[in-house]
Amino acid sequence: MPSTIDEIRTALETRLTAARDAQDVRSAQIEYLGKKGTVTALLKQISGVAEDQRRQFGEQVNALKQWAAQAIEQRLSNLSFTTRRYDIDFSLPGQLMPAGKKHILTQVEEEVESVFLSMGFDIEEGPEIEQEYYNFEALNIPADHPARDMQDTFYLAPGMLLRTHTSPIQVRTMKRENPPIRMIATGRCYRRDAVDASHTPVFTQVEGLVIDKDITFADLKGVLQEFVRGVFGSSTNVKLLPSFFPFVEPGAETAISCPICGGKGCPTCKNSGWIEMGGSGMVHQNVLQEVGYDPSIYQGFAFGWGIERIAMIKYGIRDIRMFYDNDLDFLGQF
Amino acid sequence: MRVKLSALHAAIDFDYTPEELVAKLGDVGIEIESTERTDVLFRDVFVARVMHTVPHPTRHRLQLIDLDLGSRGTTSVCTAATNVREGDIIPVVIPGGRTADAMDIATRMFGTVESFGMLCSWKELGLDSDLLSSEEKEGILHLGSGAIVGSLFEEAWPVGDTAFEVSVTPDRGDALSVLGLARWIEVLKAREANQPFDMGDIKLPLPSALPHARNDGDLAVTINNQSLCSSYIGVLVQDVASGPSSHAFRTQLYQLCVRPVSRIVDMTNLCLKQYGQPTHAFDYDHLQEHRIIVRTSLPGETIVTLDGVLRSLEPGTLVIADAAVPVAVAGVMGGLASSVTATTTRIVFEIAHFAPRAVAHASRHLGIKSDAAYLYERGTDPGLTVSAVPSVLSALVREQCLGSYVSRVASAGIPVPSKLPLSLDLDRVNGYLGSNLDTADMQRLFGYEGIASRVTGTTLSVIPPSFRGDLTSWPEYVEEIVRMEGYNEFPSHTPNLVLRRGSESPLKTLCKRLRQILVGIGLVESRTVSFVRESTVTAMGLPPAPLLLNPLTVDWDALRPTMAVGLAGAAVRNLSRGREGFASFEIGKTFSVSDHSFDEETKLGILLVGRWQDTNWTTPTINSSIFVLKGIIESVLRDLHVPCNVVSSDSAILETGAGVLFSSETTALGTLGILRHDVGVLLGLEREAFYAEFSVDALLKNIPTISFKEFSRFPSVRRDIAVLVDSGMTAGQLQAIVAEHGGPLLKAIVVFDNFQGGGLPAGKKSVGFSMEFASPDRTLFGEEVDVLVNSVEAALATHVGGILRRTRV
Ligand SMILES: [Zn+2]
Repeated sequence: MPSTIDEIRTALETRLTAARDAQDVRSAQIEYLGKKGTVTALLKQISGVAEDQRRQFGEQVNALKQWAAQAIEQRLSNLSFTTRRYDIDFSLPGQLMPAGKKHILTQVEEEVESVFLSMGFDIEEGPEIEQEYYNFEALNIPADHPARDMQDTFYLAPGMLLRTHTSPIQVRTMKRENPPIRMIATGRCYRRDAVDASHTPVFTQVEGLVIDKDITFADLKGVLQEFVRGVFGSSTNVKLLPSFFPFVEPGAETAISCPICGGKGCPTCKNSGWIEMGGSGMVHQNVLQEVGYDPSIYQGFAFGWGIERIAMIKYGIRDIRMFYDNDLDFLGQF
Repeated sequence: MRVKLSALHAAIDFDYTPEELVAKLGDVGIEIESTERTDVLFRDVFVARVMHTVPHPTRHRLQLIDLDLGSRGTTSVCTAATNVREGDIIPVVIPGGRTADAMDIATRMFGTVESFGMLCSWKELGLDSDLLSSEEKEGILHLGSGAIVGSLFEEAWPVGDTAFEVSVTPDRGDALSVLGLARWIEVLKAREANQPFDMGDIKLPLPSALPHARNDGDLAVTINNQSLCSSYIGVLVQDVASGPSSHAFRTQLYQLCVRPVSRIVDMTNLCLKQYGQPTHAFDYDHLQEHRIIVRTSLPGETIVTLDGVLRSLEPGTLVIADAAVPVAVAGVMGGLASSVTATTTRIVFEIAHFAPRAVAHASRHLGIKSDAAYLYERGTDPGLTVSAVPSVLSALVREQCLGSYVSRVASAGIPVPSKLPLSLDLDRVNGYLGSNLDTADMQRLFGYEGIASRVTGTTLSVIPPSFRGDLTSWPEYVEEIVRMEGYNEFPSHTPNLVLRRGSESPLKTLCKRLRQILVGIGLVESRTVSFVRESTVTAMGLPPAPLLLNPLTVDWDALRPTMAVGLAGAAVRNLSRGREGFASFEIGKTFSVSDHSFDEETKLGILLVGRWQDTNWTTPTINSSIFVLKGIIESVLRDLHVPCNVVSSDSAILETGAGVLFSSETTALGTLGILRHDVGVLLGLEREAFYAEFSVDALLKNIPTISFKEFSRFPSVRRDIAVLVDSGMTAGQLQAIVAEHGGPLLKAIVVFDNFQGGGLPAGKKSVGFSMEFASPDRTLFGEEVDVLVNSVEAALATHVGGILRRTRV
């Protein structure tokens, strides 16, 4: 029996020494002196002890109780006055946390979308398997037009193809809704290009369209300017070059001041200071007519850029194939 | 189109460097894709005439050649060449000179004979072999009649030049010739000098009078379909003599980047390259009744084209026919039967203007791509067809002595299709461009391009020149204003738009949210190509995938019906590069086909292989497992609040018994499980892989709206129990019993243990549940929780014979 009292004392001593904070001491207090505590249990046993030993046992238990109360009090006051010194090796790595990553094309896509959402553009979608009509005819690219050679097309059936650009979404949106229209569409497109460092048969486009009564060529430039500043930084400029796309007139190729060299000339911009990004122009009368808009009342602009191209220029990626290779070391970089 | 700087200089005077020319043409929309400069690398090469040839006295493979160098006297050389005869005009490099391949020439002894120089082949002269005929590439180069003996070779042959590769957009057919480029250079000059366009600055011959056209018995031309062929001219040449083109003509072809073939073909090629007018030569004696009829083909008609292929003509195809049968597909390719051969003595040159769409349709339908079709599709100049080209061709025939004379020119059609003037309203133009131009500005800008205009008030009446077939509607004229003013001279402006918020579809929002959740869990997003191999899909046991009619390769001949193929490919590549694991997802379209109609669905695919979590001193390695994957899916569904049931899956690509189907009350949401081993192997994955595929469209339909539920702010009570049950019993079945008998105060159940073997009896397992009880309005008493736990224990014992192993408070 005395050994029990000694054991309890030793255990509590150890426990208190190991206590790191008041909470630890308090829980020891409950465990030993609480209603169901170890010491309290001993006190309850006193009355049941044989008479000849009762007094001695009672004294020992009461002494233990007194000592315990004091030791706990002491330890509590110690804790509140001393600050512990730590010696942690912070060069050790922390516990590993999940390291997920959005695909770089998703990141760029979301960035582009957020720029346009902030300008009040709706984001529209459309099917990847598209009717020839929406992909070509409605966009002023009739059958046999040489412009079809610009976009080598995958066919699934006569009249059914994989969209070669996101422009059919323009047509679908205009046929569904009345002007004013302010939309972009991002999505996967397909062209029958042999795979090399700058071509993959699958790629991603962002398409924009604004139609109203007084949208001008100057507005096109203004919106593209906002767009490239939002994506490439506020010092980026836009330049238009003459080009041809059957669904716009006038049509323009859009170049941005090289974000890598700031326009001074570098290998990426072939020392020109400018990088061609994609097509744009005023929506062709035939397209407006086709969707049932009156071209004498409504006019507007459209543009279509490659998301891969934006990512390549922004991050200096030289090979488009990397986007679809999905090497973890590539994906993890962005 | 390839052409050399010297050919442009021959057509118009300008003093731009090649670099400046490229930049300036680019500014007006004519792209020069590349430039290639050739320097004169040889020295002291002269044009010589062979006077005598005698065999070398001792070396039988050599010849001694005496050469006339004109005013430079004579010389003699030893040569091993076998294609040198008396009278030949050939290049020779003299001692002290140097060849293009850097050989220095000195006097040299061949046995007892001294050789004063070396005869040259194209290689020693550094000529462009692509532009030489096969004869010209054999042995010593022969110059044609007309090369001046004694002159320097660089005076006799246009070496030291810059070649341009012109790549124009489909609307710039007018720039696909030397004449066309010269016209654009004139536009540039006019704009710089602020002068109107002047055709007089073009130095190419552009005669306007058609040599005596008449239809008589010798050759009759009829056009049956004027809307597809506005004019057709046949030039009949008799007593045709064969042989190569003259030296002057041949070197002109070199500047035009045309390889010589024969005098007749060379002439047609010159018209094509120089003027942008395709021409074709028929054997006159193979034209039935000496008639040419431009008509559309009749049902059942066929033709064997020049390339020897028998082609059936779609009825309505524009053809050139004689009195009996089609002899050419108009503007695309001639027929073999009427083609010019070695025995031809009389030919008819065709010069015509065909409607672009007629040629384009026939070219695509027959699958024939020809230079002529390329030009016709982009629009040729009807003005040239009826005037300059027939005259130029007739003159060439005389100059080149191709035939004794041009006997007949027969024509049909309208001289030049007239263009109607188009009205441009000043306010409309400014309102379109956001500009502030006046009528004088517009007139001036049109003037640079040779577009005639007349001002009435604020309206311009414009008529394009015949070579600008692209100008048909007012926005096209607006483009010319922009082109001439400069694309960057226009203001930039942000549109005056109504303030509003942009929106996106719920599906798009859900895709973004899914990506966010999965990336947070630690998955990397992949994007793989949408193509798969059909045989792979079949071998996987999946329904047929949509097939491409014209796939790029057999490996990509179908559209993906599942994300598994692309993700597995990405996993294989990563594992082969030494990565220890691959945990990735992709969100995108998958495709299906039924009854010839195609369908697409947005899907989420997740693939786990190998290591799931990397290790370090604090963190143990965790390998991918079916329960890691299930945890991911549960986490996603919990985040989306999608309620679902789980039943075993019959997915073709998952192992039997190792797959589950998640479904809402009404629809299947997706499956997850262990990828079937043979499917993995088929996709290159040897290791165990875990795959889940969910329909994002279906998830979207099952996302509930969230509303607040009262929750308990009183301490909860936790009790653990473990029961011994038959190992066939599922955790789900047990959990259902616990839930049912735990009563409404049971807030949560966690399976903390699932154990089999060890000291447990065979066929038994122990499952441990941790139950959390709470009340929304009070603190629970231990005793009332005990009652609930007892009822759970009793239910487990009654319903599944569970033996209580322990209860922990
Ligand atoms: Zn640069």
